[in-house]
Amino acid sequence: MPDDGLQTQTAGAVPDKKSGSNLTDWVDRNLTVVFNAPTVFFLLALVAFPVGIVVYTSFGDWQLITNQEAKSVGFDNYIKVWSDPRWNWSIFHTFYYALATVVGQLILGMATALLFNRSFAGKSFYRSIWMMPMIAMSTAISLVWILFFDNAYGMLNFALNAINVAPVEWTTSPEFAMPSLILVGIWHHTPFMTLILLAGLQSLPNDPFEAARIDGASRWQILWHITLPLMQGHIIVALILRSIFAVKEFDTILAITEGGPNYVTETMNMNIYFNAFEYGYMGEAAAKGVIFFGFILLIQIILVKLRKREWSH
Amino acid sequence: MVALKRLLPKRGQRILEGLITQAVMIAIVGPFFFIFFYMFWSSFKPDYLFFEPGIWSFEPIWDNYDEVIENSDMLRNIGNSLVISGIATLIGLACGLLTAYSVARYNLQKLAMAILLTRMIPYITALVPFWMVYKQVGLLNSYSGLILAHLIITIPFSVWIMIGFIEDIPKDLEEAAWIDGCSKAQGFIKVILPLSTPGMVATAILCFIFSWNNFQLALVLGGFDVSTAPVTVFKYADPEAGGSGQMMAAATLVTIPVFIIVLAIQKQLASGLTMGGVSK
Repeated sequence: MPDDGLQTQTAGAVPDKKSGSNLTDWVDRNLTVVFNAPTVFFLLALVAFPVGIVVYTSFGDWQLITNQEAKSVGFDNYIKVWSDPRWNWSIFHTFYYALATVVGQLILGMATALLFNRSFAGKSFYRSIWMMPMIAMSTAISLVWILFFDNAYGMLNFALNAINVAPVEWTTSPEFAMPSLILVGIWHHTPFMTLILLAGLQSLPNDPFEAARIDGASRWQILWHITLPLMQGHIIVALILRSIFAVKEFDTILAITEGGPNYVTETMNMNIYFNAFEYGYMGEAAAKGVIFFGFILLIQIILVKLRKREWSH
Repeated sequence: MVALKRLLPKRGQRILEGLITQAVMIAIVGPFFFIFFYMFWSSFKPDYLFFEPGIWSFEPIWDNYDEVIENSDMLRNIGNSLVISGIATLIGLACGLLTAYSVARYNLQKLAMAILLTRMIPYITALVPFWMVYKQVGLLNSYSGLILAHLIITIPFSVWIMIGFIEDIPKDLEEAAWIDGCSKAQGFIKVILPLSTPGMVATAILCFIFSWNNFQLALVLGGFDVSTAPVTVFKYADPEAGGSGQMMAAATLVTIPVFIIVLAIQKQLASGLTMGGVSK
């Protein structure tokens, strides 16, 4: 840095910069090291080290109750898991849940972001209500949905009854359990989608819109031919973030269906949780955890490639 | 003149459009809000009235809250959550601010990417080794164990948000401080620290909320002595734990305080969330 040059220019105002101790100088010279040391230390200890252990564990046959002396089994766990139908189904359920919630969130989120991008009376009031689910505790809102889904006394069946539709077994039937959870997922996380897309809308340049308006384009034409193409990058970022969250969803599913009925709502996250902490197959659960992480990285890579632009920053 | 001629019909059109917008907003926001209204209002409902979902007017009672507070570890775990999330937030914020500053000013792309990567890791993948190590060293069911675990939420998140806030601070101000003879560390303390206070408040609140809401870490690593509020709330998902009224009372107890905080400072939060969300 041109400190010295600057200093000579302002030598009158600053008598002696070098009077600082050696420590200050040392800190200045190694600023990035000093400033990043705590973060790097914690992230190495809390993320890199555990990842090392989980990979190591995944090559052993450790079982908490029956086999406490783990020995290496090579890639056995990674091969064995694919012959477990419950695990294979859980992969399907994970992506089914993630895809459906994220698509639902994207449609509803885009619509609301477009609405909130206009100016109207009471906008900030509506917006603060709209953002409430985002900060609500997932286990708490699960309790409300449990009551809503109740077969005999729930609000949803009460409403269906009022319009003369046969009641639905929302969470206890295999057909409806997953759609019910998807409904909760859309309700819970659409506001976040709205927020990201709204920020995107507000950052768009004004010129193309004005040009289109002068050319007499209708609102729909503007939406389809200008807004949505310009929003592409923001939509993909939103998709990345939301799909990674959706794939990891755990709290609401555990609270509302516990993976049932008959495991039709069990996702990878829950399958690993049950395997490790209820049944005690640590080696197998570790291998599944590594695979799960791999899936998430894969989604990230695919969507970043889709975006074609590098993550600036 | 043309504008004057059209003033009246246009005005009528605008009023109509305004009314339609209001109707649409209520139609969209209403169902979303209804969940919270139901949660709050039903928490004062006697249990036997839950068999009549259509009944909305009744004498509100405090019994549900009394029972939740007496029969569960709710209050103790709310206290635990405050301590655990509070300390995890403070540590996360300190680490996050320092790292965000050096990423923003020294353009440390690779470090930023590595931190982004740590945000990808599913908690369950980290929980298997966490549980194993904690069992060895006796950190299961302890405050320090849960605080450490919650750092994997707060540190990456605060780094990611603070980068945006730091970049908004003009570089000239620091350079002016250097010219006045400040060392770089002094410049950081005297210029960046005060200027990033609003950003830090927003980041702290968001970190706290994410940590406060986190259920899975405490579910696995907590225990009988030290656990957090979401775990207590989760216990009410079992219909045998208490009646419907108690479920709603428990849910309300952990939700309303967060809403009050957020409504109080929602403007700063929205910008913070956008930064963290879009990640630029």
